[in-house]
This record gives sequence, structure tokens and C-alpha cells, in this order.
Amino acid sequence: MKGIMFSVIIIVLAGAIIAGIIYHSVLISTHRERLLVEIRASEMHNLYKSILRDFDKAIDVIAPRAISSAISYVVTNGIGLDEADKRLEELIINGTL
Amino acid sequence: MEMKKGIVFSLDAILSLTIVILLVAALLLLRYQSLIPEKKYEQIGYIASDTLNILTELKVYEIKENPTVKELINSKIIREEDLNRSVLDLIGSFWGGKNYTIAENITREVLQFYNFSCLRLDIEDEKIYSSCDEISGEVAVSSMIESGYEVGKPISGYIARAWARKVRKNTTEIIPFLPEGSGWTGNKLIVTKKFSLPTEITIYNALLWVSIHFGTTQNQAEFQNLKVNGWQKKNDVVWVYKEESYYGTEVTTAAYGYVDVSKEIFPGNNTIELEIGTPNYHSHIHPGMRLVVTYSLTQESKEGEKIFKRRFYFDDVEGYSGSWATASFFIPENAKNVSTRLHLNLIDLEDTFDSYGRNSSDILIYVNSKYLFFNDSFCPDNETCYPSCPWKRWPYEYKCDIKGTKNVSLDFDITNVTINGTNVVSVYVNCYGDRHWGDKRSRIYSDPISDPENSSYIEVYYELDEPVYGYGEIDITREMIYGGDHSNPKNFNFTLSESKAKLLNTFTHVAQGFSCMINVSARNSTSTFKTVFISPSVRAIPASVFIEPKIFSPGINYLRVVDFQPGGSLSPGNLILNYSSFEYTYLIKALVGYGKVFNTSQQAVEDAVERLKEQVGAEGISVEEIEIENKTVQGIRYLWGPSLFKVLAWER
Repeated sequence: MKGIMFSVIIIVLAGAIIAGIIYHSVLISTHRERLLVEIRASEMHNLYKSILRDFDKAIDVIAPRAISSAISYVVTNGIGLDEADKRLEELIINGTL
Repeated sequence: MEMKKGIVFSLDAILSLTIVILLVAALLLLRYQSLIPEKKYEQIGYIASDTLNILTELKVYEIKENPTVKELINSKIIREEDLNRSVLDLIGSFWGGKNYTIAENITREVLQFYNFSCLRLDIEDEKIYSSCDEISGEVAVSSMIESGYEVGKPISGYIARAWARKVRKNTTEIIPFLPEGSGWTGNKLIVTKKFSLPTEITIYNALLWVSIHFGTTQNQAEFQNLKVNGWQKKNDVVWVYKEESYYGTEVTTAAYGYVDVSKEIFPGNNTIELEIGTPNYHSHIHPGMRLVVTYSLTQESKEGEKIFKRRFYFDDVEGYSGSWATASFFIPENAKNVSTRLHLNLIDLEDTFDSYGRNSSDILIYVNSKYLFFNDSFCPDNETCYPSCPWKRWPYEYKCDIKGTKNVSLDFDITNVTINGTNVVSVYVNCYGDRHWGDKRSRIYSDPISDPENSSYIEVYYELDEPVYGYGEIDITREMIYGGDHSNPKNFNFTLSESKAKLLNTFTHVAQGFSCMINVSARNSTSTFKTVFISPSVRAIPASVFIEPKIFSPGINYLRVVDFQPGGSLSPGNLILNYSSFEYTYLIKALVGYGKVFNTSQQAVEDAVERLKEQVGAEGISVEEIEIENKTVQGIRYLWGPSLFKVLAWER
């Protein structure tokens, strides 16, 4: 009878340890996924911040050049820009006229 | 009892073994579910991110003791104003300026302090610098967008633009002969073409393509004269295509050939006289006869016209008996306020009366239609209008009652029947198609050089919204021969380069032996065929078929010409000759805009002149007078980027 009791206790203890290990395993898996998502999100956030930071700097160079190109176009072709604001926008964004 | 104990021990042993196996498996699972790899990845991710931050936050003045930067400062490539830029900006600037080694060296000197992991800096997936030879294992990537202005390029200085006030260009002028006749049954046809070329030209080449239907045996029924400014050239014609038609011992020939008249054609006024006959049927000029003159010309730069008033003169056609001509002109698609006028001066036409004593029509005019636009007297129908007279000689000659000759001057407003595109005006005097009813000569008079007002012509007026070309644009005309085989239908394709993409006018000159009616269609490499001309009636084949230039685009373009019968079926024997041609006039800009910024005014001017000469020189244009405008500029920087930078990090 005692032997059976010891066996049952061992089974219960072993089961508890295994359950703990599996629970830990699931927890780690979830944490790992979260960690990877965090790394990626952080990376995207950095990229986004860099775009915002760069925008002002780029526009300082692009805008005077676009205006200069527009003036050059007008004096070269002898005709004004139709819808000048949109043409300048196109020059700044696409670099085309 | 002993047996029972044994089973219990055995069960205990199996149970213990199972528990041990499960524990080992769970421990193994735990081992593989470790966070260690992720933590390592996170660590190298921080390294990549921090490295990029270092390059972004570090200013140039903070690394001015690094050998490469120091040298650049000493050599004044990096100036005072550049010292406050970020190192990444500096690297990108040199990379954008294709100074790859400098960019790599600057990066190396900044990153070489750290050698625990491998680091690599990329721009737009191109490597700038790497501390290890090969990538291995897990790689962390940190990205950043960066742009800036290019180092070493002046942001203030001089710029210049230039335009040609006068150029010398090589161009081609095509002077087409109209399809016209008639010298009937052994009698002659005399066609005189008078035209003017610009006076201040140097002629390099003049080639006369001859396309005639004439006879070969009967007296006077032959090729009698081809005089170019008085020089007899009939024996110099090189015949390249002949179709002969036998009528007993007599032969009529549809012939196509060419003759070099470079020495006989001059700047200014010119005259070409043609005299032919045929033993039976009638002699006439077939489609495709044209003079092609290539010359150089000095042209002043000016804006093109918006208002056009031009005359398309008939050739002088003297037929024995009867004369006819099919003149053509074109109206662009976007023309406004169009008006057209037809003036005819007809000399010595015979006034005929039919068998019923009715004054029959001796003048028939068709405008873009197979139906009559005008007839001077009675017509039994409104199409062919053959007079009701008996045969005089079968099958071509009518025996009408001729009651004298008369000279007639006619003026018509033909605006209402004018179409956009190619227009054809056919004039028949004492004849139509395969019949004639005169006896002696009838003449469609034209002398545009000495007597323009009394000549026969079509006067065209129209307006355009915009000038056909702007100031500083030079028009150049070229001709391409179809080539290939004679065929019907005839397909021709050609490649239009980007430099010739701005087309002003395009025509095709269809060359044929025997002909009936034609259909001309065109397309570019992406569009479908669009019909640009269909003959409204038999023999209504224009000397030049106008094609809207906007149909064509850079790349391969296609033309198709089909000769067809009035019922719509293909004319198998009426070939389109491979000597047909495509004429195109394109525009070249003889001006250049502001270019680079230079430190001196002279450098800017020299650059502008060089750019202008290079631009027009590619089209064989030489600049004779140049106008320059130069000025100073401030603060116009050159941009590099925006570019995507990546720092890659991985374990050694």
C-alpha cells in the first residue's frame, strides 16, 4: 500500500515539474515573439524618425534648386509655367517638369 | 506472492523510466526554448542602431583629426561650413559624388575603434565599408534616411545660358510634281514646273525622281524632253522600275527612275519642263515624281508662325487634247479660322456641245469627293460627266461638236468642303478619266514665279493657337526611302530617336506605276493603325500625304499604304514602289539653359557655348552667331540623396 502511495506522489511531483517546464516554455515563446516585434518596431520607429529629421534638411536643398530649374525652364522656353504652384510641387517631389 | 512482488517492482521500474524520459524531454524542450539567441540578436541590434546613431550625431569637426578628414580640410574640399554636418551626411555626400574611396575611408576611421562585432555600412544596398569580409550568422540591421548637399560643388558663382541667333543647317526640301496629264493617243503633254529655292543656299545634292506614263513607238508618243533649267536630262534618267502595256506593236510604259540634277538646280528660281506622249491612251505623271534638294542654309533664330497664308500652285499642264491635275494641300488638325480658295486660269479649252445640242461640261472640278464640286455646263451625271457625244475613236475619244475655244478664270471658296488633313482637288479640262472630248490643246496655266496672280493655285489660310515652334528652335527636314520590295499593301517602319521626337510636319510621298485609289494609315509602337488619308475618287492620289506628327513617337513607327479599287478590293497589280518616301521635319533646340555653377564668368560662358555647340552639332548644325546671358547665383546647392543607409552588425 505504501509503495503505491510513493508511486502516486512521484507521478504527481513529476507531472507538476513537467507542467511547470511546459508553462515556462510557452512563456518564453511568447516573450521571444514580443522581443522580436519590439526590435522590429523600434527599427521602424528609428527609420520614421530619420525621415522626419531628414525632410527639413532635404527641402532646404531641393526647394531652391527646384525654383532655379523652373526659372531656367521659363527663360529657355520663353513660356511661363501653367499652374506654377503645381509645377513647382512636381519639381520638388519628382524632379520633373 | 513472490510473483506479485515481481510485477510491482517491474511496474515501478517502468514508471520510473517513463518519468525520467519525460523529465529529460521537458529539460531538452526548455533548452531549445531559451531566450539567449534573441538576447544576442537584441544586443547586436543595439550595436547596429548605436553605430548608426554615432554616425548621425557625430559632427565633422569632432573627427577632424582623422587622417582622411584632415587631408580634405587641408585641401579645402571640406570647408568651414561643412564642419557642422554629421559624419553620415559627409559620407553620403562623397558617395553621391562618386568618391567611393573617400567615403569608405571616413567610415573606416570612425568605426575601427569597435572590433567586438562585425559592422558594415550600406547605402541603397551598396557597400560603403565592412569590417569583416563575409556576413555570417544572425545579422541585425538598422536603417536611416539621409540626404544633404554635395561637398566640393560651388553654391555660389556664375551660371550662363546661350542661344544661337544664327545657324547654318543642312536640310532637305522636297518639291513634288502633281499627278497630272493628258496627251492623248500620240499627242503630247507638256508639264512645266516653276519653283523657287532660297537664294542664300549651298546645294549639295538634287535628285529628280521621275514617274511617268509614256509611250515608246509612235511618232511623238515618247519621252521627248526633260529639261532642267534648259539642260536636257531625258537621256540621263536611270530607270529602276518599268511596267509595259502592249497595244499591237505599240507600247505604253509606266516608268520610274531618277536623274541627278545637282549641277542643274540653282538657288533661287528654277524651271523643269517635261514633254511626253503615248501612242494610245494618254500620257501623264504618276504618283511619286518629286525633286529632292539637299542644301545648307543660314537661318536666323525666330519664333514660328501662328497665322498661315500660303499658296499651293498647280504645275503648268498643257495637254493635247485635254488636261488634268490633282493638286493637294493640307490643314493641320488644330487649325482654326480655316479658309481655302481655289483659283484656276484655264487657257484654250474647247467649248463642246453634245449630240443633243446641249453645251456640255468642259471643266470638271472635284474637291475631296468623287462627286462634282463644279461643272461649267450640262452634265448627264454628277460623277464622271462624260458628254453625250458619239465615239470619235474607240475607246478614248469623243466626237463632240466643238464651237471654238475660250479662256476661263475661276475663283471658288472651297472652305466648306475642306477637311483637316490632306485635301485633294482634281481639275479636268476637256477630259475625265479615260475619255477626252477636245481636239487641240487645253492648258491649266501656272507660272508662280513670273505671273503668280494669274496662275492656278489653292490659297490656304488658317491660324494656330501656338507658334509652330519657339524662339531658338531650328527646323530640319529629312527624307527616308521606304526600301524593301514593291508591294501592295506596302508596309514601312522607321525608328524615331529621342532627339528627333519633336516633329513639326510629316508627309509620305507615295510612288507608283499604275495606280487607282490609296489608303494611308500610320501608328506608333503602342497605338493601333489610324487612317490618315483615303482617296475620295479614282486618281485622287496626293503628291504629298500629310500625316499628323502626333501619331509618331520615339521608337518604332509604322506606315501602311494600300492601293484599292473603287469597290474596296485590293488592286493586286498596282504596286507601291519601294522608292516611296517619308518626309519629316523635326525641331532642334538651338539654345541651352543655365548649367553648372562656376567660379568665374568666363568658365560659365565657355561651358554654355560648348553645351550649345554639342547640342546642335549632333544634328549637323553649326552656330554662326551666339547670344550669351550670364549671371551670378547664391546659395543653390546640389542635393545628394535622399538615400537609405543601413548598418549591418553580426557576431565575429
